[in-house]
Amino acid sequence: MDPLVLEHVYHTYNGQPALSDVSLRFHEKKITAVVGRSGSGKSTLLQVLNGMLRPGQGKVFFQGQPFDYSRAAALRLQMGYVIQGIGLFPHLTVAQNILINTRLQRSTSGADSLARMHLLMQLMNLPEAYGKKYPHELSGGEQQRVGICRALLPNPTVLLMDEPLGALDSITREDIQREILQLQQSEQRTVVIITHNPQEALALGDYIVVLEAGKVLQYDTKENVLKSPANALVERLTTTRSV
Amino acid sequence: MKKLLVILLAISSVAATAQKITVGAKHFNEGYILSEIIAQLLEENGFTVDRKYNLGGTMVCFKALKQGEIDVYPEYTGTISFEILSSGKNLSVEEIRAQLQDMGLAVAPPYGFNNTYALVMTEALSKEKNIHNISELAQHPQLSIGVSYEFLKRQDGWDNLSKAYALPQAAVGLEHGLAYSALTENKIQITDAYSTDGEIIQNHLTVLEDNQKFFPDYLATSFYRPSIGEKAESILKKLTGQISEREMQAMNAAVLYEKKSFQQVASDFLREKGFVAGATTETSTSIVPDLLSKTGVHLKLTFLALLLAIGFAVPLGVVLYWHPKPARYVLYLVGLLQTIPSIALLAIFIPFTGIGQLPAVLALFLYGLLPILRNTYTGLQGIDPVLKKVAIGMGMNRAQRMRLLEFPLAIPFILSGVRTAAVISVGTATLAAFIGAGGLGEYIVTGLALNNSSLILRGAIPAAALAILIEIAFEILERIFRPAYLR
Ligand SMILES: Nc1ncnc2c1ncn2[C@@H]1O[C@H](COP(=O)(O)OP(=O)(O)OP(=O)(O)O)[C@@H](O)[C@H]1O
Ligand SMILES: [Mg+2]
Repeated sequence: MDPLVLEHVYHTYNGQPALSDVSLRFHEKKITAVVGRSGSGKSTLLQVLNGMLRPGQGKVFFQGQPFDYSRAAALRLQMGYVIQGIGLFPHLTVAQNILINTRLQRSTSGADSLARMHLLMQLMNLPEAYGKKYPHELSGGEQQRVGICRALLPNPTVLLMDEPLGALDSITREDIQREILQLQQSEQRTVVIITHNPQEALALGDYIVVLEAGKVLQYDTKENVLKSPANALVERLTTTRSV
Repeated sequence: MKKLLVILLAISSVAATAQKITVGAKHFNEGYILSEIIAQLLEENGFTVDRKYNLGGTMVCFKALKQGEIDVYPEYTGTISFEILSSGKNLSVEEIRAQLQDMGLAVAPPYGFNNTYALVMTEALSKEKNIHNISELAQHPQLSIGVSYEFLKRQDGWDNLSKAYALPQAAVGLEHGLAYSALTENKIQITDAYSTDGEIIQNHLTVLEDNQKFFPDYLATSFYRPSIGEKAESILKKLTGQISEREMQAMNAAVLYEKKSFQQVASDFLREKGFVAGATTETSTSIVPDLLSKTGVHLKLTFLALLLAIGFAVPLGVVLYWHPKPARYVLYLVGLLQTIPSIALLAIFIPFTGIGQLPAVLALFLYGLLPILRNTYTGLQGIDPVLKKVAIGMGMNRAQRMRLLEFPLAIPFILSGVRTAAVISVGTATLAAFIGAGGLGEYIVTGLALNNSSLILRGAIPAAALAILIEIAFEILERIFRPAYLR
């Protein structure tokens, strides 16, 4: 069963269309990369998936059920969400940030969470000592990795990431990409990752969605998109130019 | 049946010996002295006395008396006629007594002196020209007359006075504070005064007799609640006709110029008149315990009000943040409270709560609301929207966002609002003395009334020190609560 499904979704901001007739099925335990130009509607799409935006028209399904907006907060607890711009809480230490989810649900056990935090930090290549630091004491790339750890702590079935590696140099970017792939091998989950970087989409995505002006230009496996791009724009958006 | 009566009588007499009478005082020199005379006289006769001095103006005293906050205070027949009964004319003591009966209040027979407007001149000149009453001024058109601006304009002031007596002189207005030196330097020869002013004795002046009874009577008397009982009433009556104008002038001068305490002046008077037996007992209480207890009251008022304000404004700020539509109006309304002059705000509650610490705490509470509410609200509003989005995105509900993210981030703002409120509160608490709340303001208010600057400083310096201490305390608190990311 596909855990995230959109059917003919339309969304407008003050009458300005941001998503038009978007129908997508995100496949279980696969990574789907969403590419598109700035302003094409990528972040809007992710917020619709997360239930933060309720589309004007169309249907949103989460784990086979129509999204229940009256239980939005509870449903979101089952989805990891990494926002564009990281958004670590400045008044909490790195460890407190990563463990924040344990303070939202009673069911989680403290010892298990601590062990998981250490595992995730290790996977994301963060020294254990960083736990006591505050976000402002970390570099941008380190903060982004903490953000990913925080989203993954409750081991969500779905992980939504909005440009998690924006504004990083290419070497660090590739390091973190490798870490994400490694994680995906050990804990398979449904991942939707937004990027405007073709290299990243190709490195991470099993599937690729190409958005343009709120419409889906193409949605297919990485191989098919590369083999037969729907048009010239798709080709441009998915081609890594060698420098 | 008889037995029962006897028992009841016994109980009531026991109750009477333990009876407590609250004596109020108007906030000025003579008011304090007369109240203290009443208080000491009652104490001498076996009553327990609770002193509530510094009650500000007539209306505060009257309301306090009406509501039983105080049982007795000295008042003037003219004030009762014009201000309290609004009768428009001067009533006799009998007429006043009749009208007060409906309110359940009473006045004792007057003490003997009349504290009204008067014209005064130096004793020397009065002897030289042989002038003893106002009519005789008509034969001396060359005398120059300078009167206070208020007297120049009043209904019972210069214009009507000079008509009534057909005086040929024209009066010039001058600042009352300068009038006595102008008299002694012979720049003017006549001025207006209150007939019991201590300055009259101090400057060797003569009060000209109001032989046509132009000025309304302001006969001082005990204004009381008959519920104090017959025994207490009979004690108040002992003062009937016992204080002459000259004696009152002398007592006022003793406090103002000899810097005697009014307790001392009152006890000297009672001993002289034979109301109190025994030798002079210097009632010099040490300053330090008194200062400490007043500081304690001051801090209590301040912090009670502050706690109330925090307890009310912080949750209200959170609610407004959740429902921002009415926020503007609520903030505007609370801001309006801030514009009410402190004295007025302090007085507003008296009809509901009586005098004392309760209305003071309520007023200080209202003053503290705005800075705390505004800072809570703007502090919450100013939080980075990205963080709010993250919190929503990760599945926090509204209460969790407030507890884990928004409130902690707003704490530095809230704390600085509390700091502002605390400093305002400490300062305004000095004014609370006007409504009988006590605290350091009592020194200041009494000092102002007695024109005693060392007494004023005894209240003002510790009050200023408290404000500074509070600033320092908050500085430290803010450092402790300053979040790690701001260090
Ligand atoms: N809160 C909003 N209110 C009004 N318009 C918005 C809002 N958020 C986004 N938009 C508009 O909707 C369109 C899609 O925005 P969206 O954030 O989804 O783009 P994006 O693909 O994520 O772009 P980027 O790569 O720059 O992040 C844009 O034209 C944007 O201006
Ligand atoms: Mg975006």
